Amino acid sequence: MDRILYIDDEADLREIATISLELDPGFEVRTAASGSDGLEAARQWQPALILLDVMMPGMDGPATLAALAANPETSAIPVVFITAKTHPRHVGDLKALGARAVLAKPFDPMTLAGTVRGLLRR
Amino acid sequence: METLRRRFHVRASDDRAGIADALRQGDRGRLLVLAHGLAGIAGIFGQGDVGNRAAALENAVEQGADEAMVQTLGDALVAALDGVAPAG
Repeated sequence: MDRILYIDDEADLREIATISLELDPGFEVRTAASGSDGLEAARQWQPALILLDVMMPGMDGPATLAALAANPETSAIPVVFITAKTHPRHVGDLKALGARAVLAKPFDPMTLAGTVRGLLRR
Repeated sequence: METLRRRFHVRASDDRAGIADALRQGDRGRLLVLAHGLAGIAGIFGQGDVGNRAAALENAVEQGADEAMVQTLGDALVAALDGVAPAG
């Protein structure tokens, strides 16, 4: 099983993402409601990939990614940002931070698992 | 997903009231939070127009648009939310 950690402050999106990702029977999904909770989950659970919301109260996506990268226990975990702001310049800025990819939000619940599966194969 | 769809319709109604109130109060922080949330989720439930208008309002607030612009975009979002059918 490939572990996927989804970090987003929006409860409904966490639930939808879980349902969507579990359409792939090879995924085990956990969620976190904040960047700080996500850091702890990543350290303890060691997911294969993290889906990370950009705009969250408190520790936002870029700050969370920086903290993940700074910790040797989590620095090798690929991170994919999810954001409603998909202007090429914004996407470029996020990739420059070290994200493997940037996915548009709202995501398609029927294709999210396939997209993430593809990102894992990269 | 059907349960989540029904929940979205309830949320849309709550957010409509919240946005209208935040517009009256000039509460840009609350507008930003509500618009950001709707921008990220409305499209999943087939409410792309709501999502687009929410994104426009979010961008305007983030960029410090003047009051008239924020009011216009907020009113447009409220109108779009009026068109979201109640939970069945």
